[in-house]
Amino acid sequence: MTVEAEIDDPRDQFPIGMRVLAVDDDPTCLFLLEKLLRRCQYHVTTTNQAIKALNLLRENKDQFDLVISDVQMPDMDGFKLLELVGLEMDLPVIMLSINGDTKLVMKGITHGACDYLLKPVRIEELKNIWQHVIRRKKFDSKDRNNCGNQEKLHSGSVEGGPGSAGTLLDQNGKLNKKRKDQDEEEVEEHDENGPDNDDPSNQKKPRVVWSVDLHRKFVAAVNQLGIDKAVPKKILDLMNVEKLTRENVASHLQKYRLYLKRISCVANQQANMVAALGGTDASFLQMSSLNGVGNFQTLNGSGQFHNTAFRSFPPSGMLGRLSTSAGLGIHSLPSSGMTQLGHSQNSGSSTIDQVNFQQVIIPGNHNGSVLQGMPMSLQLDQLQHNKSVTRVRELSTAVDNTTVFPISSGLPDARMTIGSSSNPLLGVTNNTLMLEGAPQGAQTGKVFGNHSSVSFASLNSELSSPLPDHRRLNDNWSTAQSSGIQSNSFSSNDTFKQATMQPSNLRDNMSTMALQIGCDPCNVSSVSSISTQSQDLRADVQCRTNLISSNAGQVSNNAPAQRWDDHDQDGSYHSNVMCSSINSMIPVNGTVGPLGQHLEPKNTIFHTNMDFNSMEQSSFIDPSYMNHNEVNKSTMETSLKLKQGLFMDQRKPQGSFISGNFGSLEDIVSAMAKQPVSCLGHSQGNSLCN
Amino acid sequence: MVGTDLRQQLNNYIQSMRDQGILDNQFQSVQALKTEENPHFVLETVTGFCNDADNGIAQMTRYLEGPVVDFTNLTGLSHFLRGSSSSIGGIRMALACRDLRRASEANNKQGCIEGMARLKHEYNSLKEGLNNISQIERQMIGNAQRGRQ
Repeated sequence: MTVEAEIDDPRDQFPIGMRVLAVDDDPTCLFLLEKLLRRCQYHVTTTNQAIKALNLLRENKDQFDLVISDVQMPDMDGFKLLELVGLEMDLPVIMLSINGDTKLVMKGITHGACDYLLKPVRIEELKNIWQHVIRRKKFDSKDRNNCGNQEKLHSGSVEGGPGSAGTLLDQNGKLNKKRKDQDEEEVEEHDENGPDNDDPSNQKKPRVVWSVDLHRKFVAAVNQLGIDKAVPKKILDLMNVEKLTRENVASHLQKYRLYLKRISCVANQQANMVAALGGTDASFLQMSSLNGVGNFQTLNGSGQFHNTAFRSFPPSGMLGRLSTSAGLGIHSLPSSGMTQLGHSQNSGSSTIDQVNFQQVIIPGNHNGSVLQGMPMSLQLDQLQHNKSVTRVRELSTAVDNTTVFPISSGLPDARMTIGSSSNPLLGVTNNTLMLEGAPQGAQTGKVFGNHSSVSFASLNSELSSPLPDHRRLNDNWSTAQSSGIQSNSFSSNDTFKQATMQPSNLRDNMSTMALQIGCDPCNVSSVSSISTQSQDLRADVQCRTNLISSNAGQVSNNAPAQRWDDHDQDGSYHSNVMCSSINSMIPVNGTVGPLGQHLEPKNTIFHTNMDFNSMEQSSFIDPSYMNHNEVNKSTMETSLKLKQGLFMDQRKPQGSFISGNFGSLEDIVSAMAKQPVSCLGHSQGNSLCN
Repeated sequence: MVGTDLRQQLNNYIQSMRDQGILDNQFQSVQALKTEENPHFVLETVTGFCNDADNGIAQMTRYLEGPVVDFTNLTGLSHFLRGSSSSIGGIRMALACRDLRRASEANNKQGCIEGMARLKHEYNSLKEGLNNISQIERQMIGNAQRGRQ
């Protein structure tokens, strides 16, 4: 097969023998795919169930080099699986679908897919997939080395782009051309500015790594200008960073906007959740603004993640993780991930976390349902506008809210009316992603979505988003949740707020929550069935919120808590999932690209976030998460946070990400809306969510 | 000779199906996957596909004919069949599935009924064609085996 590759590639015979895991519920397709892959001389393992695939992956992370998965599967949404895998295992994932709609492809990208193939798959396309493995490895190590703005030789592979579907789709074509080049490039690399790349789109341009600091500056500049008025030239001027070109800023801005959209989706969901939780939203929202780095992403996914991330993680680390998780988790867990983030803020590092949330949030959106395009985006915007620092604090509180969803009962106001206020419930339904995602697979952000959606819905109804009012968002959240949750969230939110200020408080709460939440990853899965799960989610959220509230001080969710108790686990799980999904989802700007890849600039942040997630999650729910994030310390914290509803908060900061889930996000978003946030548009979120 | 004739016959047959639009190039790819070691590949694939399709269609009919139409499941299943049929090259059937899915997503019962009817029609022609192909394939394999013996 790739003869050239073999010759050039120093690795032993790679890509021959590359270990691929193929997942597709359709036996005919799976059978054909297996045959094709074998024809390419890869080592193939197949399964028709996403859950089995996840288990296989979790058993031994090093067992596979690449995962190919169908988008539409009965037991778990392909996007969720995508997120989870990206989050937990950081493996390149290729999506397969018969449907090549731009929207879907975009969704795949934002969720972190490194490629999107259309069925029926041709063998020529499969012959090129190995490059994703190499690319990821190269970029990973590169990113780790380059923390600041370092110019990297970017072979112009797919990752660079804003993740447009076109990029991915074009890749195949380009791949052929670039195959050799890539090989050479990857080998030669960075130092050279580039051997000629056949690929027209990727001219050799030094790649800018968006570090946490850089991103923070970016967000500050954007906030200063106003998200609507932010143009690359002005942002560049404001940032005043050497060696940064307008193009860099432009592409980053694009990613960021996508991220915000996602967050708004998530936020909606989260808002719902947060509302339930009690106001973590605020923190969440804050988080987003603070970091802007995209840490939020992690927030989303791991809900849990966020919480811990915030706490323990140094801004950079956490953010990264959170971002991804956030993406994932946001959907479902808004609270978990997010809340954490909020907390961390307090500790200072939280700031970053917050950012992460923002980023995370966005991913949440893809679950679509989660945030429903919640006002989260609004929140995010708001957050963004706000000083990150302050945000952080808020986030933490918000986080509490998020996690606290159930607690949200106190926050009637929080409702995120931003756009998705109605979403809370919608989020739930839409977010099936959250729910689904969480249990099922990290991959699909969907899981989170489901999770969140359900929870959101439930939150909303029950919790009325306890969002604390940190930011208004919290309030919003709760209002968003209005369906019922509100009261809880508010009280809790408030409590949280203060708690956030004192991270320790939150943490405790979170941990409790996290534990609860984390306990039962299985629950999460149950949650996924939004319809049925909603209860669970709520319970979960409640639990979380309860925890948070209890810790934080008075999460009023107690009532819902009962419900949640059962579901806590689910909830937490979800949040974690969410967080992780979020994180993995997209580094924020929707430039998801390879999950790991995008996060890179913010990686440090994300990573930590991820860890955060993992930490939390792992502690509670899923050791798999932990793997992903590896940051244990954060997990604990994050978990707490998550529980507290930070998750929600976290999400919110990011944007609407969280809010979507909880519905409280809406509140948050609305809160954020107060600020000159440019609402990403609930509608946007919705679209993203979907 | 016999083998060649059969092969020729097979190719002609497949070509005619392609001309009618029932099959597309994908089927060729499927055939290309057949190897010496696995001559039954096409047969297995086709058989598997037909089983799934039969079950799927029966199931979808049930969803559609129930007192309350189960659109959700109908959507999922039509999507599923779309994937299978396109993988095997049954392009017309895949299109019918796509249309059915759209109608189902829109909760359009009448549209679903029509779509379902069309799907069945396409499936029948595809199935017939595939069965014929399988027959020829079997013969070829049989001949090849006899030839080897």
